[in-house]
Amino acid sequence: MGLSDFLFKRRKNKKGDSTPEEEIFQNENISKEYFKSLDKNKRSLHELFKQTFDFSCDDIRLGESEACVCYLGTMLNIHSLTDKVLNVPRETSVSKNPKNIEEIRDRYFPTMAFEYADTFHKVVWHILNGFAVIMVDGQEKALSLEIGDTEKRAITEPSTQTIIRGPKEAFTEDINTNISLIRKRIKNPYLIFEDFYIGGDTKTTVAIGYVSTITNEDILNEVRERIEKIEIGAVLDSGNIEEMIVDKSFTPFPLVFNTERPDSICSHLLEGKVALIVDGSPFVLAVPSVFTDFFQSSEDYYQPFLMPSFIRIIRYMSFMIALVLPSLYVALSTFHQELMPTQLLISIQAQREGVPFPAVIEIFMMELTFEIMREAGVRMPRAVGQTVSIVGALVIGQAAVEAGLVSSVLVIIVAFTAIASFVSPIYSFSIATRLLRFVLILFAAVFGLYGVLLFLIIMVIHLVSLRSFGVPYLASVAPFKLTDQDDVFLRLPAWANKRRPSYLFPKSPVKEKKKQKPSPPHVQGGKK
Amino acid sequence: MKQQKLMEKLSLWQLAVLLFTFEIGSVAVVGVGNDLRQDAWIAVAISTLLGAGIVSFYIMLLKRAPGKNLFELMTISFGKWLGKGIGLLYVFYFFYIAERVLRDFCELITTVIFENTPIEIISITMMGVIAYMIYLGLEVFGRTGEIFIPYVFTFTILIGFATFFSGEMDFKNLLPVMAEGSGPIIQHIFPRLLTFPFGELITFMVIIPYVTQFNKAGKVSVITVLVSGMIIIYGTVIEIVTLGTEQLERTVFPLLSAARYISLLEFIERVDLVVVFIVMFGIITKVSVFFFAGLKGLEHITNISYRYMVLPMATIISYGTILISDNFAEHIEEGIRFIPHYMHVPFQFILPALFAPLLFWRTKKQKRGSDTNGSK
Repeated sequence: MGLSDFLFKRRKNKKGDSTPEEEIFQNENISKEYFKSLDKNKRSLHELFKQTFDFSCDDIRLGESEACVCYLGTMLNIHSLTDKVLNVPRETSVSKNPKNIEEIRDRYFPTMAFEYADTFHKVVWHILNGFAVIMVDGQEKALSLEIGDTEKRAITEPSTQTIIRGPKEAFTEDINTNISLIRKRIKNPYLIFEDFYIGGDTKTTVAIGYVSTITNEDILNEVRERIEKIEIGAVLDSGNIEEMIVDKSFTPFPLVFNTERPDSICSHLLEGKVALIVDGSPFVLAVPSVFTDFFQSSEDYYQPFLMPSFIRIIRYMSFMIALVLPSLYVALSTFHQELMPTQLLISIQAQREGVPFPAVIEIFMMELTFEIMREAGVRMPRAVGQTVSIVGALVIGQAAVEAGLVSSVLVIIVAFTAIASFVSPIYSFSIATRLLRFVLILFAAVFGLYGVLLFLIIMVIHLVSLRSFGVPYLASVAPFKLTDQDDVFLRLPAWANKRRPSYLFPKSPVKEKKKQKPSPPHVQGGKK
Repeated sequence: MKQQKLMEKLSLWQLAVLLFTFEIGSVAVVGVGNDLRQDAWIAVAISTLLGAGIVSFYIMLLKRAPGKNLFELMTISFGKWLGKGIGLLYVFYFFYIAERVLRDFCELITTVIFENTPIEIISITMMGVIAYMIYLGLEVFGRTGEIFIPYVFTFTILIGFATFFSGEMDFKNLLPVMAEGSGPIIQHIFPRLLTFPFGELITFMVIIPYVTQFNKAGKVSVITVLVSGMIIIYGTVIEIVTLGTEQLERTVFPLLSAARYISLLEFIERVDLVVVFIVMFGIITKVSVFFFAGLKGLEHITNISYRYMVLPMATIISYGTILISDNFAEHIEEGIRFIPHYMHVPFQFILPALFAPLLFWRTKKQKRGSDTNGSK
């Protein structure tokens, strides 16, 4: 059995006895039948793979039978193929001829992971997945041997979600590595991974993982249903899947949580969520996800609880700052000068004196400049990365103020806003504030503070109407649940956090029953 | 979980939140009992208790036929055609009050913040937000309330503390107590204070049937009315002690005027915006409740889903807001002289009192088994 088959529990198929391979190739013009005659099979394989250079079909002899080994040379380790498969038959002396494929395997490849392929579809699928397929003349099945992997990226530290204290491993592009990273942390027979093959052209493996004793069946069925519905050509990253399974795509807010931290995914699994792992993507998704998930870093749980609680409040605050600060500036300096304390107003107006633009234009200019610099900073080759910061800080920041194009208060506001928007631990969430900020500036420019309030109310209405896999997006705040508040705005100590979030309707709602509040050893009235 | 989406339900907490914001909504704009000077809070206290009684009466009616809203109750008691006719009157009443409430807010904004902005802009934008929320449904409405209630509540409480620490309060303003005897207070309580803001809770007869734990809804509503009454008393006391009786009588927006006295650390001053925020959300809730109640009535009368009527009716209301009176003075005058006697009292007390015996009789008949007067 292959590693992937070992890890995945084979999905029971509703359509009866059709195998995943059949499903995958059902739309393609490939004959299904596997022939007894080796020549016929070889001919159809050559027909299929004739143009690609990395396909090989080497003739060998296994005892007295004609056979051939077919593989894609780029998908497996060619050295171990030579050692284990191509060399083996010659060494074995023929005493008794093996009659069927099982005996052949038993005789020649007793130590290798294997699988039988009884249809031509399976043969093709195995070849594509890096197996070496041995077809023996006169046999009804082919033997697929797992040779060993090709090169893949090693497990490194996370690049987008760094923490100070806590595990430093990150997911990689290989789905088996990712699953093993999760399994290493949750040693539980009820941790289940189911596999799906999605993408008409790419046939990407997508696995959903869940702990069957915790996760609610309805959520699980909803996830399965939505994944089975997906019919797209290519799945190159979990982002492709994400867009196809969200409840509503016309929203700036991410409705699916993504992370490259295995420990974060594990904690979500243990709360009763479902993980979605896509082969080829180091970002694993967790559904259903709610608004407050995006303000929680896994480090919150690794530090003593007071500081993380404080930090969480800081995160919510900086979300609001990133959202409204520029528009507040526009509203106050354009419409409501009287609301500012007099001294502050004077100093702001003094700075704005030489500026030739109205506040809206000024702030739009700077925000756009900043967005451009940010984008350039991300896309720029590493070697020239320094340029952006120099140009940004010196030329655009200082020089623009000195030239009298913008006021220095405004530069402070734009810079502060930008920094505040990075505080959210999940990058895809900070994108939402970037987008909404511009709309909010427009509202402020037209209606002043009334406009800002109007927009915030519209935003809240929009937020509460969102759902992620049927779970209200603002769950545990609206609809309000008192028992869930131990891990929302504050993180209470681990012994106080006894319940799983109730909006997920977990099968076992209580994590730990005992009272475990630590206390100093009991002294018996000072008698000793 | 899909079922939750189809049947719209409110939780008890959401009901309490909506009730609370509804109660303090327009009270925060125009204040109550300003004519009574330093005795306003006594009148509010008494009418809060009476208000709790009124709510229990409404709940009692609803309990006769669980799950049926005001309009369906009227069909039960008056029969199909008469019931629908009276229902239509209620629809007009609800929409008209929605317009009045919205007008209060428009006047506040155009007086305080945007002196040069035409009132149409405010009424259209506000109604746009309300229509969007109501279109998304009662659940979204309830949850929006849940998000804003902490802010509304804390800001209301903080205004009191801030004025106190700004040293602007003079508790002598509360004296003398009942200088002119109990006569003016009683006259003020009925009909004005009892109908606004407590009798207006008749709109919740359309909303309470959608609460998940219906049998507890009565208790929750009564408690919420008492709590919101206390907050109104709190606000009224702030207004009296900060502004003094003379200014209180003259001012149009008492809470706002009181908040303008706040000056802390030479930094926290001119907090008008905070008041406007409380008021804005209160008004949105209040208008939405009336709007929703009216729409539900239309739905009952026409058998068309109310979502189709959200936009047209919102358009009419935002237009009506401007039409109902030429200026603010006229608007307030109508609110004092005309509305309580000729609109609030009949719709809040007379009609329910009229159909209550009928309802009792019909539901009794139904319970005996002759189920001929189904609501649909």
